Amino acid sequence: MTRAESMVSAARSSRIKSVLLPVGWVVISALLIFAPSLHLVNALWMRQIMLVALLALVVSGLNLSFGFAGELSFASAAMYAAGAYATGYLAMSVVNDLALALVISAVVGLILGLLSGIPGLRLGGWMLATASFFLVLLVPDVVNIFKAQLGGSQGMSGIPLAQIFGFELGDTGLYVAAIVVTSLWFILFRNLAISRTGRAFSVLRQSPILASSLGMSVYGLKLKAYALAGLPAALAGTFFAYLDGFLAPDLFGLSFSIAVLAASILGGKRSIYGVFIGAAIMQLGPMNTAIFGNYAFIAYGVLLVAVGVLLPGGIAGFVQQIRSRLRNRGGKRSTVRRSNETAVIPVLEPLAGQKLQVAGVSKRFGGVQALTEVTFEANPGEVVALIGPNGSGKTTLLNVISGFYKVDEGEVRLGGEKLSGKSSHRIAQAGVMRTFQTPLVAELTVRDTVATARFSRDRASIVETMLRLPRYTRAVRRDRSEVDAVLAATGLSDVANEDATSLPLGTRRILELARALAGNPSLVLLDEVASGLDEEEIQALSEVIRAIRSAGGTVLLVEHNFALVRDLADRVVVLSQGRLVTQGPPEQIATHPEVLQHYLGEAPAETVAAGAYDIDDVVGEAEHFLGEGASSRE
Amino acid sequence: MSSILEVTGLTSGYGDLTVVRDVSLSVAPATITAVLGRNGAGKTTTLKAIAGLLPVGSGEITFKGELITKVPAYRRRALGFGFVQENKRVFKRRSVEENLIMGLYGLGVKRREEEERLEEAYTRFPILKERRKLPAGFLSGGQQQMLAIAVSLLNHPSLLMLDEPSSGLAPSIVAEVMQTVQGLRDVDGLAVLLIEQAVDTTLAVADHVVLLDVGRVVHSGPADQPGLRKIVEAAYMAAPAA
Amino acid sequence: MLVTLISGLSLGSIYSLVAVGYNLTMLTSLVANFAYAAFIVTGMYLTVFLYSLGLNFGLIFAILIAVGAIVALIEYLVAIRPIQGRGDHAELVTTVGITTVLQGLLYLGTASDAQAVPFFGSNSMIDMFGGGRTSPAELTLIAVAVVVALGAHFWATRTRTGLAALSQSEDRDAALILGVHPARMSFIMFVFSGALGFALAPFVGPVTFAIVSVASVLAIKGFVVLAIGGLGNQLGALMAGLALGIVEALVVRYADVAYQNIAVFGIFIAVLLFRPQGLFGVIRERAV
Repeated sequence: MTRAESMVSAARSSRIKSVLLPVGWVVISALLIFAPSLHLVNALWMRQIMLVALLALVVSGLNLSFGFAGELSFASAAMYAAGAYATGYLAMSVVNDLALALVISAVVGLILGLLSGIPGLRLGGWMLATASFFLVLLVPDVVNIFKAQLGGSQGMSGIPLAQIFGFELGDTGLYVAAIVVTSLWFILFRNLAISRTGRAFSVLRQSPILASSLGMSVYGLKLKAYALAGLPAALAGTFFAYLDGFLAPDLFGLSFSIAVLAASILGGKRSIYGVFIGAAIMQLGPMNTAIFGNYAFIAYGVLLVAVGVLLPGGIAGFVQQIRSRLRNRGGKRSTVRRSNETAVIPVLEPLAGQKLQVAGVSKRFGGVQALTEVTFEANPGEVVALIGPNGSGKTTLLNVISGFYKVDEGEVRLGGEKLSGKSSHRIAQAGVMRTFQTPLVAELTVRDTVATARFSRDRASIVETMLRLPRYTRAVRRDRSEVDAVLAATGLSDVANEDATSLPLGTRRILELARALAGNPSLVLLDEVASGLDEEEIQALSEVIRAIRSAGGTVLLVEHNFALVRDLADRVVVLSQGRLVTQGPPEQIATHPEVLQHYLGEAPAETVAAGAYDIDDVVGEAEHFLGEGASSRE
Repeated sequence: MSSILEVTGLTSGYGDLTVVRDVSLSVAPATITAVLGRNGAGKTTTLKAIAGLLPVGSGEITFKGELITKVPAYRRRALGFGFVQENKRVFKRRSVEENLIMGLYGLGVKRREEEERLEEAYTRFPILKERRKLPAGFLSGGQQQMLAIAVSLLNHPSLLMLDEPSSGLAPSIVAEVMQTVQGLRDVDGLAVLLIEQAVDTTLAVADHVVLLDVGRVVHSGPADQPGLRKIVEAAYMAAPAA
Repeated sequence: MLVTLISGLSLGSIYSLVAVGYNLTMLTSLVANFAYAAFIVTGMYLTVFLYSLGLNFGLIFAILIAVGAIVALIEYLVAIRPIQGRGDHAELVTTVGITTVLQGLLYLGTASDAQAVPFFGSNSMIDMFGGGRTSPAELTLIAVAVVVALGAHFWATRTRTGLAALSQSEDRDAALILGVHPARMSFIMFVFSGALGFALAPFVGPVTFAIVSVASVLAIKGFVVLAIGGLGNQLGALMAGLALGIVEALVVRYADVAYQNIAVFGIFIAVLLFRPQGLFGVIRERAV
């Protein structure tokens, strides 16, 4: 299959998906809704299907926080309990209305998510897991404290049958309502998962550093996902309260949490529809005490270990793996290069470059002075190269500008606006886009990778995304046209649908540049873009950098390859031992005696300065204030 | 004289990023071989690959006549490797003495001998004895570098690899470090593989020079070869030798 | 008052012991073995069973150590080694899985009611100064916790392997070139911690009773202690555990048992908010 054919077939299959999927969803939902009235299911199965749907709701919440935001949480059982008890109390003591109960539960779920997420997410990892596990542990205590209202450990019995606007719903009515709510929630869930926000999650999961350099607030996004995760669980709780009319704390214990986790792992923690597979297997299998009895726990545990070790993507991931293997059978991978035969001279849309001012910047690490009163400027339409021997502070300076390090003294301004003191994602939002020494790309297609830079430039809220409101669809349309333009200008159009991680290094560096451009940058920071590239790749890269300059962008380039510096830079700034040695046009720098001395000879007497601070330190320090350590270097 | 370390056709890098290609070099006893090259030329990658910290794509590493290409990194210490990594990699939260004790890890040295070896290190670097109870992170940069060298010497290695031992140090301390390195060659007869950025300092102590550029050896020869500095300068400041 | 203090200390001792166990594997492999608390509880049931066979304490102790080592070995081979370095909290999932399997086996193998674990020493109560009585089992447990935590601290700071463990947690590559083999170290420590967990059962059991569900509670409280005491700090784990136990005992004594966990949760959240590195933190968390 030629590339053109494969693109056509990809387009066709996406069209099929966009028609078939909604139709299929409506058909299946309708079938389930009308099943009881068509006598397709008996009361027993109605109950089982409803329990699967409720479990699926809870599991989808876990998938949001664990699969998408990358934070393991056991809190679902607590949210489920909160929704159930809120509903029970409401129905027995205030007003019995399903719709109102669903709204109240949703609010309670969101609030609980925020309360446990705000402290827990600051550290993430097992701290968050512990906090959320603890929340589950507290359910019986809270129920006992409010014994009069919630029934204590004896349980809360006598919850009336559900009513909606005064009409009593029978078993079938409750069943239908549960299916409708589940079906609607999964549409919203799917809309969020398959969206620019969903892709933002996969970026921040794979590299928090990259995410914040693209203007995404790592903490904010994780908190949103985590809080939202409580919502479906609480909704499920409402139905559960009405289902049996009886609640007791031990229904929401740790074993339920673990069953939810097992269902998520089994179906696939990043899957949408896999949730139903996981929920159905757990509900009809081990959770069915009539069959499994005391073996349930062993089954949960074995599932966790076996699937966790053997099928990291769960059943859904496994199916996808097989499908992509079948699709690629015979086809060659990972040799895709950017097309050079076209040899387009890239022309970019005008960029609103801003003047960068670094004024008296100093930075210390412990007892080591990494930067001392560094002052220079870079203007729009100019490429400024930053050179200097190992450990001279170049990368440190880049990290100071992009906000991964805080300055100790001095300040950084862009277009007159002060950058220093802002967090890295705010600085990115102000128009500073960067590349990394080791290219950082997430597991996305080339097109989606470029589009991630537009996430924070063209905002659409989670609600707008889930409901596909006009602001979201407009943002997506603009994403498409701008990304297309950038891909064309950088010669990446032919590989637009390839996996970014499968590209060779040179193309990945161009991709990083393209991504930076899609962010409509006022300043582009390039950290050793040429290292590891061959001549031809360096040429292609230089063309793009020149095009950025012609378009009016401001470029700051850290580079060791002096030939490239000579070729590209309008001005060279030389650092040594954290101090600015000199600056000037490249020809002058190449013969500057002091520069030669710094590169080749001994250091001048009085300076005692830093060792080399490389990207590891960025990762280290950034992780410190981002909280989470899941940054990948690849 | 046969060499302690013999590297032939070494190719290595990080993941799919190949940094050094087809590098060959050898280090004889009681000589200093210096690896020169500008930033990013592949000097550190070469040393890390020799130490076993990076995978070797192709090529062979022979140490004291034994092929060790596939020997895991943690076994090379006992064979007689000493490696001072760049950036003064001491355990900053451990005390000076604990750092030194780590230099004897896994060698089965008895307490008695441990004391003797520590005393040896303290004799070489008396300042370390004064500060032996202090966390290494509290030492100055130069003292940390001395500690790193002292640690790497505790196993009485046959080969000492040093990655930019003078980076970030004051010149007087650089001179001290270089003196130590020379002493190790002249007095202890060690084979030394040295990476330095400061060309003149390095040429002054080295016996043999290997010049890297863009991951390949572009020159290899005695350090006192006339015109060597010009060759080095060209490699540092001009286009890659493509 | 003194009685409350003693019962708080003995409860806190258990929390400390769990946290010390977590720290052991944390230092060597950056994985806290979630199943550690389940090891202790499983050991309790095994102890009850072995006593019922009429074996003497020494033999029971030896059997516990052997079984613990084997269980931990299996856990390491099945649930840890295949996924090390994969990220995604994979170890958290699989060690929770192992915990659940152990609990499931216990539910299956025993009636899930609480079972009394015999104490090998005297069962006669001791009259306390100022009124009230306490049992030798409680006092022994406190002593065991102090000894184990101090021993673990001594191991980490005074022995060569402990030093190597601390060093490699600080800089893996630097330790590697000095001959430290991190994978082997994490393997040995896993097996050791399994033996230790089971061996603690005859000391913890007489105070708590053998109850299957206690494992999850202890597992979580152990993590809370770890967070408060500071990752990797064995003395911190001891102090934080004992303090937490005293807080719980005071809450139960002067307020209501329903507030016992809520108080702990409040302290935990406060520490996370205001001192994320823990009260006695030494290691900065990175790879976890």
